[in-house]
Amino acid sequence: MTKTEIPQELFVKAEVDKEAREHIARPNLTAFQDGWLRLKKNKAAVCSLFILIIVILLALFGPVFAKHTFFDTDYSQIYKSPSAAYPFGTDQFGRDQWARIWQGTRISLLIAFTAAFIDLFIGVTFGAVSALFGGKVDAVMQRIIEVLVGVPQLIIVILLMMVMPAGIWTIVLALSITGWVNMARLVRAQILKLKSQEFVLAARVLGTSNREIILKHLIPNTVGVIVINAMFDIPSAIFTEAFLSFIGIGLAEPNASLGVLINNGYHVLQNFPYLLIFPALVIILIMVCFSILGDGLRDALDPRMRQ
Amino acid sequence: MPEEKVILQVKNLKRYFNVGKNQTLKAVDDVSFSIYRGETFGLVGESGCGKSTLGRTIIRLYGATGGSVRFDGADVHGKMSAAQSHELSRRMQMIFQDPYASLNPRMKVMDIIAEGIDAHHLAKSAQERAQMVVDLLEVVGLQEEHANRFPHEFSGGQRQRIGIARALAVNPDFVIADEPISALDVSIQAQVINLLKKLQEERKLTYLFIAHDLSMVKYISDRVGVMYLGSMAELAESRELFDNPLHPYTQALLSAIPLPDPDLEQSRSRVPLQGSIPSPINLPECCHFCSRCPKATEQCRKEAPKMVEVKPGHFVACHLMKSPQA
Repeated sequence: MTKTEIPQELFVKAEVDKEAREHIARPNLTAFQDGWLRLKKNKAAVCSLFILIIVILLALFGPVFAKHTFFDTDYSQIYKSPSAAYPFGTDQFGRDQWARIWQGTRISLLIAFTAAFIDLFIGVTFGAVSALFGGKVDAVMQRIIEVLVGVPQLIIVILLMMVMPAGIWTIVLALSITGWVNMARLVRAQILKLKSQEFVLAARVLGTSNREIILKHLIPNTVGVIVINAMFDIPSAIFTEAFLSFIGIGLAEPNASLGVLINNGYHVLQNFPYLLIFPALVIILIMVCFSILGDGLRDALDPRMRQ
Repeated sequence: MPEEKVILQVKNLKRYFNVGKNQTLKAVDDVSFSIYRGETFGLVGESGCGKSTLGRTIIRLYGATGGSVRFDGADVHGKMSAAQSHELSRRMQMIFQDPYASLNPRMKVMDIIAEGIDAHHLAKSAQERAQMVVDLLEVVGLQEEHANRFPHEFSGGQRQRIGIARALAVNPDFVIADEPISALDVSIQAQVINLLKKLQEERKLTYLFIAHDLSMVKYISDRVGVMYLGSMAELAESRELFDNPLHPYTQALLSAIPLPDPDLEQSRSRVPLQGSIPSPINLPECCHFCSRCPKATEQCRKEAPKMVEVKPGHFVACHLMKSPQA
């Protein structure tokens, strides 16, 4: 092998621009824009969001634009198949199934959102207090949670139904008594993890007050967990409500929730299947879409998942 | 050294952790030293020897189990008013080890750096606050447009410089650097170290520099303390310690530094250490190094050695050093 001589003159000093070295090519985005950009890439989540918006709009305005109210009975029109006048048919009292389904969806969603909101409020407060105070306070609060988890939810709900009148708020209360436990556990775990992170230590070293540490460091880093868990809370609340109505301890006639409708349809399944199929389809759509959207949000909201 | 030059005096500092029934982990056990104004005090030792715990106890992230830390004459763990305590937190700052964990991923660089400015109300208006942040970014070699970015958009070295800017925002006198370079690439290490040196000259800072990279400590420190299992083994001026190590542990440690010259590296003789570091839980009363020391005697296994000044400014905790060398 012969050595190839490269003459000195051919070397040129590479000039590195100091500004360019520290340059970041990525456009400057806020956290919200960034999350939305990444959520948009997830086709399934966007579809779910779209379907959910339609379902919610129908639940809000469907009953308003229906020709019949959900409690109007018309004994000349019982068990009609779906037609132009009655898009989803009529039930055993001749009530418009279209109006009843959207009224039912409205009530189911109302119950679910209220229950999820109460879960969120109690769960986040309980979990955060438990994690921040630690020691004996934490131990006692965790035992309370364990006791609540130990009692089957169905028994609490049935006992509650015995002493309270059947209605929306009884169901919301029943769902909330134990529903917040998961949220409290997740928030506690997250805050315990954050508490010993170096950026929280740095804030303490800088003399930041406890209140500021909670507001600026702990809560913002827990929001992702909270939002996602609330997203999963909603379908599970809808499902529990449907289940309670189905076994007959939910809402009373003429009020309709999706569970009540499914229960009614189930009795006449062999002759009039459309009375079961349509409310079942709506509940499936809501549950699947909330789950997919929750999954998509989890990925989109986590800044560490960014590329 | 005259008394007024001492900025930080650590005296018999102890920090124990209860790790179970009748089990105490003595992370820092009876450590004493002083740091002089304007110097860099290097603290070395292997993983788990209590370096970081010592740093965190000094800056009050942990309470002290015993002993005292005096900063400018005031006992930092003693009783003091909220205002005094707040002022103390302005004067003592810390740079953290992991640049990925030490910045809040949800906050913009502007708010991260301004955190200390907000906590101590150093800026009178929003514009002044923004200007201070931009100035600090320039000091650490970053640009104004970086202020509106989130930490995950930066490289490790850039993040560490943001951490440095955050510590400097409150104009501290004393900075504890807790392994500030161990998570960075070698090329970036030099950049950060040179920045720290430059800042020290410009702002008359005093550093407690915690590290396990000996050549880096040699480069930056004026005086070096060597820790082993929670206690100080040897303390001397940097040059004296590296040229003339007296403690068997320091000798072993220094002999492990690789040399850049391959010919010298070939002939480098190492002092091998037998065994591994014992568990720091419920240590018996003895020289903690006796289980691995090639020169251990009966006395070493029976009583803990005291720090002895063998030469002016050179302290060793070893029974073999009882009398100044003949």
